[in-house]
Amino acid sequence: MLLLAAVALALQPDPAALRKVYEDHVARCERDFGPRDARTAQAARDLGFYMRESGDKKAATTAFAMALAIDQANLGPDARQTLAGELALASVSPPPEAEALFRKALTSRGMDSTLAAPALSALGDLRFAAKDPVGAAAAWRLALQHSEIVNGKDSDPVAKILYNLSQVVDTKEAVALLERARAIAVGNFGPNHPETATCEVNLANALLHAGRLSDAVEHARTGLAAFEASLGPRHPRVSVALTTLARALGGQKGADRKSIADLYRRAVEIDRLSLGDKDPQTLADIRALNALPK
Amino acid sequence: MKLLVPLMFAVSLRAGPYATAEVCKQCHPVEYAAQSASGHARALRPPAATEPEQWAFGAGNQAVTFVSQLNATDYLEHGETWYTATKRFDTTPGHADTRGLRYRLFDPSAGILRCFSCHSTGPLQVDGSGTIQPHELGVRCEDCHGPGAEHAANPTKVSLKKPGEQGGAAMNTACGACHRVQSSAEDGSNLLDPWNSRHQPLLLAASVCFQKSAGKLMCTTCHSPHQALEVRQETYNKACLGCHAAPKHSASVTGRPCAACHMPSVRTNANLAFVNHRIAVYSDGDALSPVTLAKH
Repeated sequence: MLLLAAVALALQPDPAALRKVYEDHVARCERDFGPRDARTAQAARDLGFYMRESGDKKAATTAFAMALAIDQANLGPDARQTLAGELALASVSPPPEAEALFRKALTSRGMDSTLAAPALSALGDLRFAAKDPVGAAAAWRLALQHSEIVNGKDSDPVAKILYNLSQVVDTKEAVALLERARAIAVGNFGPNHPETATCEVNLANALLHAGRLSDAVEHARTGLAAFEASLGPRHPRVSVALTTLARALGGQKGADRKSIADLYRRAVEIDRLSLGDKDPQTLADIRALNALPK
Repeated sequence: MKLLVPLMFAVSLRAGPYATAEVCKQCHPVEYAAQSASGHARALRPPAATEPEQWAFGAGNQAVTFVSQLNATDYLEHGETWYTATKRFDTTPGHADTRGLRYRLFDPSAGILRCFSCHSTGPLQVDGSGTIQPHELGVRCEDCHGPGAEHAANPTKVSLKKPGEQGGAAMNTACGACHRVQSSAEDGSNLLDPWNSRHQPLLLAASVCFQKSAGKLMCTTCHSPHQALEVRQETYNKACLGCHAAPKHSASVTGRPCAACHMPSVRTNANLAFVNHRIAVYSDGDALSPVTLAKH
């Protein structure tokens, strides 16, 4: 099943230019307040979050570990701040350490839904990456419960978990989950938005797998039009929508080979421009084009 | 299965010792004088005597937004902005009301630090009382050319960057570090959001003109980096005609500048409008959705 994750935004300007400001602040707090002061912990935590947002996990790990050590000593292991610090550290740690930190924090008596929802979601991500769909589904189902409490049933974080969960359940449930995610996106963003288009294409793929081809065609067309309008006609997501539509049309009786080939050709053209000639998606779309019956 | 989570960062122009525009002026007085009159140079200033706040952001070509330090850890972006076109104070762009937005100085997204970073030149410093100290106010020479102290000391041996020689994509990325650009080919920014009309590099990158120009079309094709913003449409028409020597139109366009139809003005609120840099063909009623998209 071909699925698209949620849209991410750029972080600008250059994060390296501001890193020194954060590091100087940590050094100043250490010097002025001492290495075990709560203000020093806060400065280290700020640096950690900034480095995490900047994509530098190594620097973030060092900063989060420093903040956590201070919090553990000052507040105790079950304090909410300490647990939040463990989760922050887990979020930038390699998978084995991250999973251990998540599980430890989740069993603490200080845990609440606000902390548990993202922690369980991240735990599900780790299980999924470890090719453990059962473990991932269990974590994501719990994450869904907590996220509905904290964020509301029609919130964006809930839609994200629904998408995650759809990857590890049977096709029938996946369709239901993605229909709900799509409804949330339409309600929160409107029809012509990249997030909504993503949900449309994801749903089209699930419907394709369920054998509901005409429904898949409808959602793929809707998603394609929304992607083209909101991201531009040469965006890689347009390519994914084009191939989804091509596959849905190709499964129907009396499919028009020429129009399907045109969709694949457009997809390949976009792939080459945006991803390069040797990208796996480019090669897969070329293979699909060449495999069409003559 | 495919997961699309793009994050890419602009190349840093901020390393090494900075001089200031005053130093550059000694050898480049013409460029200095012209650039000093530009909106970029006036992007950040202390407030005028009649303005009670601490910092004034924006040259005032469109608007001026005020920022104050509240205490050692927090700043306030004031909820009322001065709009030049309507000559009045109204809700600050991006704010829900006029109460203002509080920024924690060291928040994870570096919100207020980014504001100062883009509206000043050179490295920022923060002192022990949480006061942000820009190296130089406004967007000046070294924001584009890089740190210039070594060049100033030894101009024959140390050269500076010339962004115009790096091609359209590199320039779009450099300008987009503050004006915003797509984070990667897979960036998912919504081009139909009127708010994004103020992010010119983002929309320019989505233009077929930009994509097909092979690096020839760049910000400086239309905007002189050393001058105030050009307001004469003839200058922009000339830039278009540089590639489209004999454009074909389905209807009469006599007397209309190219941008009127191909880069229409988008209103982001009652007081602000920006030129849509996603160059395309638009209908009169919709300044955001190109009518040239493929149909299926």
